[in-house]
Amino acid sequence: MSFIRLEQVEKSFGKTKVLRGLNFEIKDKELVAIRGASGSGKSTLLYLLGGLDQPSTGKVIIDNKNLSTMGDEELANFRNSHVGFVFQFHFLLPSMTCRDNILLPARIGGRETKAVGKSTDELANILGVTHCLQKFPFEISGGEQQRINIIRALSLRPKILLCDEPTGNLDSKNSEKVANLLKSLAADYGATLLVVTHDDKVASFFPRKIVIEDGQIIG
Amino acid sequence: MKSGSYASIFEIVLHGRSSGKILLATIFSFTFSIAVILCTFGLMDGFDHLLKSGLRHSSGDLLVSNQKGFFPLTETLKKEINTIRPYSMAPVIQTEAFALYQGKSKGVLVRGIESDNFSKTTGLKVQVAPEGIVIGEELARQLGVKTGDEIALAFGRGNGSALPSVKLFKISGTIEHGIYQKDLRFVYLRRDDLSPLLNLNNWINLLIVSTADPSVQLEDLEPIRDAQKKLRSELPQEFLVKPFWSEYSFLIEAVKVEKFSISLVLQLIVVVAVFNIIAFVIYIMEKKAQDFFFLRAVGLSLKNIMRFWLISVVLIWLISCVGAHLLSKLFNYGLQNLPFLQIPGEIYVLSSLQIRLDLKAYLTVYAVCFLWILLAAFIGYLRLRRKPIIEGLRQEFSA
Repeated sequence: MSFIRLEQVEKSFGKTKVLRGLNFEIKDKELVAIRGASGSGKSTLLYLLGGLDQPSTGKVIIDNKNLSTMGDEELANFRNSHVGFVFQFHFLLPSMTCRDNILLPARIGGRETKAVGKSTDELANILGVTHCLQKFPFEISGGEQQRINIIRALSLRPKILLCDEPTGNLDSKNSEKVANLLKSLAADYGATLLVVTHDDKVASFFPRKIVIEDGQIIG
Repeated sequence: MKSGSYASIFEIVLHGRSSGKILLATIFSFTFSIAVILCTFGLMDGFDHLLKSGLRHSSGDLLVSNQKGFFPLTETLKKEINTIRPYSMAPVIQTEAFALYQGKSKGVLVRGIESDNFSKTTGLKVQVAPEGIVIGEELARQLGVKTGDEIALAFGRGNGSALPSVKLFKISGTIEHGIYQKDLRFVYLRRDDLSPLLNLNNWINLLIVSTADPSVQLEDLEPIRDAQKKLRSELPQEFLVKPFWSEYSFLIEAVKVEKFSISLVLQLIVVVAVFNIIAFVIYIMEKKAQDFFFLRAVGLSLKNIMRFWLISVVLIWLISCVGAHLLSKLFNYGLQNLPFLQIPGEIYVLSSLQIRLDLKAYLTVYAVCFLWILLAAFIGYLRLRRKPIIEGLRQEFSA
């Protein structure tokens, strides 16, 4: 049974149609790469899947919930409880230490931060960034920021891990490392992984690929 | 959303030196605006209160005079006055004269009184020794006299003569009415000393009546208005009955009108301060847009952002109210103690002012400011609502 289902999804910004009648299904815990050139609509698709935006027409159904009919409060709760985002530019808040950055989704969701803190320590240990937790983002390297970014995305054990060009700034060797890391973490956490990339090589690391061009799925 | 997340948002908003400085400036401008309104209201209420209590302190509640001038205090008159059950009454001879001292002269209003019942009726402690006078403090200062000095009083009408009668009196004390013009003009002596000088045969031209203990502060003037109406109906037509504030009624009315019109004008100051708050909200929205949109991406709803803004502006309002209260107290202290903040009594009737604010005044000012600040929060919310999450995130990606 599908975990994510898109039915005739279209998205327009003004007169510009960015997504055109998308239909596809993704199974629970599936590892998927969404590949497309710049401007193909792949990021817009990712935002729809993450509940950051709503389709102009059609349905986005995730975990039997129709995101297209949800209100702002409901969508916010959905993003907090179901989705982990990994952004290309890490986007760690400069006013907080890395640990506080990681705990932020838990605080926003009104969760118990003690338990989240414990799993954070474990994951930081696995990824080798324990020494970064008390530091501010500007005090650590780009690679360490990327790993903190991933820990934050996984902090609430999301059902879906959405990554937007997570290897955009990396060379091919490190891209492969990050792709493998995401795959293994998603498998460990039982999350469905969707990685948006423009890079064919990065897409090739994932068992399933959705290719998008001019707002339509072509493969 | 737990309080910890609000703290996190505050941390984000206040991160960076400029944000903190702008917030402080915003709070200060709002504080100052509220303080200006509080002080203005307080000064007007203080003026009104001081004027009324000052007037009552020397005039009693009701002033009974006769159109023909002098009149005897007959048993019938006393009986008619007793119908309003007065607290006490004081017969007074009031006439104009010149006070002369070492080449200086001042036009004064001389009051012939019986010390004890005058004090009881007006609450003004005047103890005049036989052949002595008590003069207003400002008059003593301007003439350069002190207790024990002798000054001459020249009355316009002599004892059965066309010439003025001049008599020396020893100053047995000075007195403060709380009203500059009275302190400058009033001279008290015993009625028994003044009556023969004017050949009045114990007649008087003013009867001061108090309806209640003058030491007890009046909150409501209505009982005095009622007593005035009743006494007016009891006394023969030739008698005039005026309330104590009648001599400055135009000022009291003017203060009322001014208070209303100034309160409208002062809204402009609040509006300017609210613009500062709106500017702060917009500045934060723009400068921290990406942070806010990221917070939204990880689960912060618009409702919670609105709640955050509401808490923020309510905090700004609360801090500003406390600050404004302290500033008004500070200004009041300055008004009482710093010479350069003293107002010219020649112009403002009262030689000193104080800020007097009751709960109603505080609540009115704070409530109006609260409404304005809610508007600021709402405008901030509308701005955020207009911008979809995706736009903020795209900004982040393009960074």
